[in-house]
Amino acid sequence: MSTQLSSTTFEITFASTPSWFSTIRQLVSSATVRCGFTDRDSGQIAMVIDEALSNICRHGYQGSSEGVIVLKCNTSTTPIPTVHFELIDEAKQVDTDLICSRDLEQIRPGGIGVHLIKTIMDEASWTKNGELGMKLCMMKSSLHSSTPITESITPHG
Amino acid sequence: MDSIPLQLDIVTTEDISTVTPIGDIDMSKSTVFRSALRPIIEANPKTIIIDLSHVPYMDSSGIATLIEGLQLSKQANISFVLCSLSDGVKSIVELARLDKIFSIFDSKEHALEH
Repeated sequence: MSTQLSSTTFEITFASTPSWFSTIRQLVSSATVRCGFTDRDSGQIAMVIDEALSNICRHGYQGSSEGVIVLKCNTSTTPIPTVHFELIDEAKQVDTDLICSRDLEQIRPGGIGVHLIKTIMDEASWTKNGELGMKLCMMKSSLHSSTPITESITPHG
Repeated sequence: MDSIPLQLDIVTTEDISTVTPIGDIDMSKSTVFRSALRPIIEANPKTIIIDLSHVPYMDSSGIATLIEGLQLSKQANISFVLCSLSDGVKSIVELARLDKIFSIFDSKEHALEH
């Protein structure tokens, strides 16, 4: 493809099965690299999408592969590389106040997905999607790239 | 869609079990990884080395499996170490602040020497 657009949008609808995750990670990683993010940032953004999908499958659809997930992505290159995502499902609705990072001082399996999402992305917000399902909106710009590991985390932010 | 099963190479000597997963470890693969680790821990070697040189990507379910392996190993007085982390795996280990929790070595040779 030789044409360079300053903004690109795509949308993909797929079943709520983890066998799609690898494909979606590759898609997101390619889109963000093309937009101008570094390989490291693109890898972390793909990780965020993967974690969000895992949460939808595990907690929303409770392991059922019968559900539907919609991923909308908009990348823009000007003034700086920026990506917006929407992840929409038709799963069980959850109280958004309960979606929070756990205390990482407690060493135990599980519960770090939300921490990764909030740490890596500049913005992440969950809302109920009308009567059915949830919508997760996220934004990341290259202005805040390569999240330092020392960044402070608000446990219940 | 990715339907390739996770490949695990497991080499056991008298005292050391080395587990080498091959491929991405995400929600679709971590159950296999977890199931493979259990009997290795139950066999009670002195050391378990998880060689991650062939794992380009790991998600939080893979990390949860490693934490579970570490905790079960501690209870059994087994040394549980990681080696040869790819950039992708290093990234999530650091973001989850687990780089100080696990014993991590640059190579399998260094892990064997510890």
